[in-house]
Amino acid sequence: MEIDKEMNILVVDDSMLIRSVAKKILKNLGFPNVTLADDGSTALEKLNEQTFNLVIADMNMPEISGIELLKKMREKEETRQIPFLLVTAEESQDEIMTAIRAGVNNYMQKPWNVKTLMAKIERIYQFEEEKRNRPKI
Amino acid sequence: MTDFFVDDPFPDEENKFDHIPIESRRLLARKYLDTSEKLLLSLVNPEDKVGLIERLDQIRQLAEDQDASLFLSEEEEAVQVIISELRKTELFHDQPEHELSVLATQLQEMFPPVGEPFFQPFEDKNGVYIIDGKTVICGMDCFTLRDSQLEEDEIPKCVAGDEIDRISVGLTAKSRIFYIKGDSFVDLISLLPSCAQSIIQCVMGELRETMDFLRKERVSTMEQLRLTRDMLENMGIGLLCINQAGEIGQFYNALVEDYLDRKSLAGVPFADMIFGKDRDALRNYYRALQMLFSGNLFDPEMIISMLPNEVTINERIIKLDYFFVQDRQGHVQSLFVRLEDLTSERFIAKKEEQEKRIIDAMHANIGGYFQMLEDIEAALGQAQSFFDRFSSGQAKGEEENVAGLMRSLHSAKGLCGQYELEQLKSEIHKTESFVQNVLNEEIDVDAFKQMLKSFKKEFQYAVSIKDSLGKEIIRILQGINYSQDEFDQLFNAVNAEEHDTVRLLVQEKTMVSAERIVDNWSKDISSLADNLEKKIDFQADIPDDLKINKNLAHRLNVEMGHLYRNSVDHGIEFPAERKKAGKHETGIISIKVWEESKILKLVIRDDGGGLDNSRIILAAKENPALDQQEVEKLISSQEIWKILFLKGFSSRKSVTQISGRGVGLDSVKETLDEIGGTIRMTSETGKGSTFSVNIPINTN
Repeated sequence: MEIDKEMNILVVDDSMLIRSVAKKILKNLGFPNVTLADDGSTALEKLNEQTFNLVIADMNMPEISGIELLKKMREKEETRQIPFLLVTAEESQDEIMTAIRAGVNNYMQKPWNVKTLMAKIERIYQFEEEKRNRPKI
Repeated sequence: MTDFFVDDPFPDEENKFDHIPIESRRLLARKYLDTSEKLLLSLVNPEDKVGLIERLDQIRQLAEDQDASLFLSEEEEAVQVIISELRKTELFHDQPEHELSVLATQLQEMFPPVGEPFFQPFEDKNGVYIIDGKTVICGMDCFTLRDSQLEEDEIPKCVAGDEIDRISVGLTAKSRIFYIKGDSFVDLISLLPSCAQSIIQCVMGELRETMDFLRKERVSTMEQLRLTRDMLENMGIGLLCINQAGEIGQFYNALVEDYLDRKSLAGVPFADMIFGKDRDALRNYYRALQMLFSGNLFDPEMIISMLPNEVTINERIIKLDYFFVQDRQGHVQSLFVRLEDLTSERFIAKKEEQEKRIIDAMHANIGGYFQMLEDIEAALGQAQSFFDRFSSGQAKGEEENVAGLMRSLHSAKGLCGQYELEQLKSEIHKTESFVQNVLNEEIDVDAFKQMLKSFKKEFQYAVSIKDSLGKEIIRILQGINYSQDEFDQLFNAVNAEEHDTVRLLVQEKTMVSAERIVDNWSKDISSLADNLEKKIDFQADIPDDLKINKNLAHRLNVEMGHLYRNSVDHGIEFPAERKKAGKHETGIISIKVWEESKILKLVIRDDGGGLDNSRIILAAKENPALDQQEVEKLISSQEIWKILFLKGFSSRKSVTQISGRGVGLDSVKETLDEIGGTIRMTSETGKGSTFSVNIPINTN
């Protein structure tokens, strides 16, 4: 299964350190087109300006949390289908459950790890393909 | 009446049918007319109907006149063509003629565009198809599990709707396809009892075949599952299956009963067995399980990552892995759990780490290791013969022998410490206690016997580590510089297991002069003294032929430094004080080193003011880090100097610029404890203090 390495990725995190680390990691994995946003509102603005193929957002952010961003995205037609990877601080099942029901594609625990990140991205796309290949009734 | 038709009876879209053979075009046209007629008649007003019918008759006449005979015969021909096609099929080949002709008129001949599927998605898939002479029955629930990568000449008798697409793409280039819609087919059953019966039989046959196939598949799948389960059991891995409610299924292996400590697990809730009363864990678990089985929208792999990977049951560490089985639509059918006991794996990992440390220590001083083995063997022998005499009633009262045995044991214990042989050290310690108690009380002979056994076992372990090196010993020894001759000598000695010789040959290379103990001391003492504005000289009395292990020399060089620093700091007085006391302005710190009966002796002396007991006691009492009971004990036993060596004594009081970070005499004691050494301090007020250190060593 081929993942388009040129795809547009939006990374949302209120920590500047995390944002730069994320961009670097993604670049090393072969994804050059990474846009950064420092909070939910900025993220929504950027989503209006351009089409993204993947959103990676931190769960804990001030004002608009990662899950709230997800919900807003799922409400709108244009952003409903965009794959969303939530980055969680520690295993809080309550919040992850909420995210799953709100339509998150997958989640990843901090800290950012090269191998884990690649595995999660691959899994997101693999699952989408599995869904497409289900025989039609 | 409005003119609905143009003169040309054929519709404007004629060019759409260019690729259709001419004889069938007419058939189509006729059908089109019939259908249009019905439609038109239903639309027009009754008073317009008659005129319309007349007009249509005219058109029909026109169509027929144009090529009447040809038309009719072509239509008949078309039917005949279809009948002959039907006869080619297994299903219809011996059906009555009249039934076939009715069937033929009902069948639609299809002319799909070349290379494309011959119907629209989601439409009209149910029905009977006759493709190039073979009959294909297609229905929603009839399916075949055969590979759908079909060869061109291989068409199954019964297919699922989506497989029709695949077949049709390959066939439409050159195939004739007749099709009867599913609904019409149902009507036909009454009209064509014989044909219908064949078709039904065919379908039933297919179903039967399919059911058999499925049954066999299931049997073989269950068989595989059973094999997997048993194989896992042999590997020490438990396997069980849980359903949506979290209950354990029938299918599990015996190891699971062992791990969960319970028999008859079918129907038992799995979570309750592993989480016990932990409500949060239970809640999370059941919630994840519910989501897992709730449909095919969420990624099961993601949900499974929320389930616990490790639990502790009955003090065993069990690893949990999860596998799910889903149907073709992505609905999870069941969840398998793999259980693996990690306890011994972790235990082994710890043991391996310890073994590595032992080997590293051995590498650092292999000659010493050999010597240690000899010494412990001797001590073990002594203990054994002591036990023999004891159990036969002879030993009591032989205090001298006990003292000798105790010394051997103590010394052996110290050596163990150097090589990280913790268990052996503890066995020796137990033996020491035992032997000590022998003089005081009755000892259980059996217990003594057992203990000696454990002692022996640990000793053999220490030997086995050495043996396990095998040829590796040569490699370690090669790390030391040998000439060819020296090396040959060594190699032969190792092979012949002549431990003495090996030890000698190795120690020659790993031993250094004992003078190395005082490397740099003189300079250090000078500079420390200058900082404090004291005048201090340093003297060393060490025989130049005394050799000790390089590492030990280094260690002592570092650790014994605390002793002279103590003297510089607290021992030697300031020049003015000394003068007043009638002493030489320059104080002396001296060290004498020698070896006696395999004990390395160091005596470090200063001619300072000696210990001020009252100051020591005061400092001790004020120091919250000290165990005051200990302090009291030492005061009452007149061993005030020992207070200096108590853990925590120096950590607050003597943090001076000179003594540094508060590391002091207690650290010296710790170091010596590790290597089996001892330290004593004596002091004479006004005259000076003396440290006497004993360390068991290997000698050459």
